[in-house]
Amino acid sequence: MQAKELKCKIVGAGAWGSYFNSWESLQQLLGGEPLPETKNKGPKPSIIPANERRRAPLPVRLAVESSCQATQSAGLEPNTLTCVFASGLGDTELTDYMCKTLASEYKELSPTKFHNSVHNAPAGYWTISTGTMSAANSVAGYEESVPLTLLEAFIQCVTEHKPMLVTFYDAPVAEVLRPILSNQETFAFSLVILPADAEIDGIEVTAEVTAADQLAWPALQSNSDYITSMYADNPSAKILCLAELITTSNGSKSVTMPLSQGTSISFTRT
Amino acid sequence: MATQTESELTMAQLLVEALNLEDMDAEEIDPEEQLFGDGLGLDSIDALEISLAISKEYGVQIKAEDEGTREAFATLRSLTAFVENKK
Repeated sequence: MQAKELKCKIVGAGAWGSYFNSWESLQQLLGGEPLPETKNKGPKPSIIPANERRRAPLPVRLAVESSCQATQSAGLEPNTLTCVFASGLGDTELTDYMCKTLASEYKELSPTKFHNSVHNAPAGYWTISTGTMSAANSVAGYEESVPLTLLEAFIQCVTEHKPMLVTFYDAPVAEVLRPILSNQETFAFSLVILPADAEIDGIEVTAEVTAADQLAWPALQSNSDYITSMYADNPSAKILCLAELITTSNGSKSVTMPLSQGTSISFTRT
Repeated sequence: MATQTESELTMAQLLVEALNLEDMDAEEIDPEEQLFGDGLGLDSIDALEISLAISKEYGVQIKAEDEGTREAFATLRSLTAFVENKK
């Protein structure tokens, strides 16, 4: 079967984690700068109306913050973008709360927590906050969430000829799940992707799916313990290999990610 | 602002905690201010959340269809009095 080539242009990025609060500060860490002395507190994106913000759990605030940054850096109105949101783990604190409550004698769930527990809660908060009527998809694919979501975004961008917002977010895992899910880090990253013929400056990247196993994730150029352990344990931080690819100081031209059993996806700067 | 009684302060603390009211201390809630709409700005999800918190804390069930529920939810003062009566 002929592999299909998908060419798009990255025109904006946003990022948030315990030791960075923008794409620029994440790039500095990728470039080898030392960690700041203090950890960031959770983001409080002001774009979410106050009544909604006080109900917004960490994964939602992460996703909305980095989405907001990316659209601002692209200089585009948020409501012009079709969105894809991805989390490999979802909100494990809420999953734990729901299970505990439903297994207890008193089974009444908090309506706020119940409505936040769905996987597309961040997409909902984003579309409400920005007034966007565009499609907003939500993807979950555990450790393959990043490549699956990039494929989804690139396909929509090329075939629908639509500007896309794609956001990855994963928060630290609830204590009860730590024996099976090791992620302890907070990470969110967003990209604004346009069709390759768009008249805005950006970084051209071509995605190509091939019928070949890629069993291991590519090693990062960064040798920071913080960055590499996040890359290993946080499903959304798997985007860091692409983040390195689009960082100007990086010499590499291509990165290949596992996609599914028997397939992989590569991204090449053109 | 009207002065809070001790039980109103306790109820205000429950509201701040249950609703995760940003940047607001329990002591700052005026017992005579409207909780919903123009006053404190609470909405229907908050009403459900308050009912759940009161049911857990005081064992008092507040039903949407009950007469008196609307009056009970008017202010911190009326809500506290309603719960005190039903306990």
